[in-house]
Amino acid sequence: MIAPTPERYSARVEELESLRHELEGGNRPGDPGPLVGRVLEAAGDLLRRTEAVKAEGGNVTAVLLLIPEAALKSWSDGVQLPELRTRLQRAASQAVEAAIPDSPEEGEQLAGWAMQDLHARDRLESSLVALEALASNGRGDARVLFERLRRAVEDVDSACRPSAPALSALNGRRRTEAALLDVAHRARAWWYVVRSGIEDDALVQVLGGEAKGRLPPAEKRADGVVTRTRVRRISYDELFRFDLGLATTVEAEVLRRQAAEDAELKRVMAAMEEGERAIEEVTKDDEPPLRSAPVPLPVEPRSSAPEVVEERTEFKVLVFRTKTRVQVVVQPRRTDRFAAAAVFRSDEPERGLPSRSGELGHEFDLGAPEDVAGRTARVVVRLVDGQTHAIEVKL
Amino acid sequence: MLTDDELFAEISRRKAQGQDYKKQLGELVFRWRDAATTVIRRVQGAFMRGSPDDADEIFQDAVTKFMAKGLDQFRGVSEQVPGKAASPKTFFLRIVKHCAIDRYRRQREELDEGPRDDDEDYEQPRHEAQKAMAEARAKADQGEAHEEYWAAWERLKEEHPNEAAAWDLYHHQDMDDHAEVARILGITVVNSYKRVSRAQAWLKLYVLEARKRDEAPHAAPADDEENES
Repeated sequence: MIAPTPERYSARVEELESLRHELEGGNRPGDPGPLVGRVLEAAGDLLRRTEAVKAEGGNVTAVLLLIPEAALKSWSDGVQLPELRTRLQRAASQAVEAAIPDSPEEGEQLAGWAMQDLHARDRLESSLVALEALASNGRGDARVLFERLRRAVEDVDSACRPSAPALSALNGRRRTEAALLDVAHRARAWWYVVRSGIEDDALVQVLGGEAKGRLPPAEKRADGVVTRTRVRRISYDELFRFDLGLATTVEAEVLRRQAAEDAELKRVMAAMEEGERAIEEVTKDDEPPLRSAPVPLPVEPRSSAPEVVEERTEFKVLVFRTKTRVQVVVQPRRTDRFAAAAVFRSDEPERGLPSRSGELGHEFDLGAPEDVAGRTARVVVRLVDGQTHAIEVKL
Repeated sequence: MLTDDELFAEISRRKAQGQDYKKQLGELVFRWRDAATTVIRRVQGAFMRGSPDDADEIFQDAVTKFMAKGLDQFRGVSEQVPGKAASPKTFFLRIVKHCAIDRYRRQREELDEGPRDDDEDYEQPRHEAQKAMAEARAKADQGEAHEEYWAAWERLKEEHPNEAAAWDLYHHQDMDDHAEVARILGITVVNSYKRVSRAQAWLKLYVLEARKRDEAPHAAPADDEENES
């Protein structure tokens, strides 16, 4: 369990004393970097909170001076700034989810995780302050490392600081942390300080429309930019995926809805069909690709790979065969033209098989392979203009 | 002479091994050029636009797309839906078709007057000069807002695809009905509300963030400190 905030920092005094013994022992096996990291963090936490936590500054510096030069270098080599950047981005993202959670419990959990990521930035700041203290006590190696790291950390801060408004759901916890910092160190700690005022506590909820409240001018402008009515242009990639039958359910739905109301998109759909007819004409005499035909980076067909028994502009008919089931899937490719599909087994020609909507389209279960062997199924597809296509499938 | 399939396999092998394959690809697509021209003409007919000269540019555009993404896309598609779609020629011709559609679609859009969604009202001063200036300023603001919004949208799609899907239906498709959004996405109505709210919050935060970044070089480092506790 994580200790309450003030106690956590008070415990640093004892921790530093214990680390002093480890450094004085000097015979710790393995990489000294992690030990140095703990010393710097503990020392820096105390140096940045001299008013909240009473610790002798001289004692802290004395422990820092015990750090060997090589060990300090080893620690600095292990500082992972890209990871820190990712953690700060994640904190901003989780803080928004914490502000508008699916459930209150989830919100609490996400806020806790986001704070842990902010603590990571704060611990690095403590290490830098400790490093600077070491440098000002005559350690030239610490000065070089400090200046290099400070510059690199400033780059991370510049990239992540603009996302501070996203952290407002954490404001209560951030204020507690900020209050423990000495005034001189508070201004730099943007992760605890920027947009942490009470007036911003509900900022994300207001931006999300979950709560009512007054917005400052910049946020008001952003609100106007986002809430203005807009029609999204269907992109080249979306149309292409749709054409290949790879569009997701949502993409297909969006396309269908937009095409119903947008004359330009209707024209695009008509051009797609015309182009498809042209492709069918210019490829009709081509040899169908052999199963053994070389394909790029050949991959063994999966056991669940379907057999395409019919492929038309408006729909595809696929047959999936597994050891236990044979299944026909009718996949609409033009949702604006596809109306309905039915499947009949040759041994029960009057009874349409039940269907269900699956990931790939309308799925019809024909039964076990041994039950349907030698039989056929008739797939009937009706289009919105009344045209009907019937396809025989050998089972 | 190698068949289309053999030549395509050779291109794929070279690509996989990091070798140059432009010559082989050039030879292969040259074989499909007449077919591509037929497809382009038919798309031109559907749009009632274009000239024979466009065919070259569209063909080149399609070749570029085939090289950049198409070869990998084709592999993915041929694994997912084996069959007729697995012909590289058909696949390439579909790229040609879409390049042609994209070209004529853009041409028509450019002919339309101004952006689609910037009809925001603004106050009009009495004097004509002032009015013209205000109009120009408003148009510039709207253009900027348009770019900011779509950049934020791209980021939302990338970082929070579930929320983006809900927002796309609710806002861009003007569905305005959480029960319908929930049905299409296969989620609860409450979940749909939450996703749309989060999407909205993120989009606004991204717009704010982008503004802050743009302003950063000109502003003091602590420009947002007025809001600190």
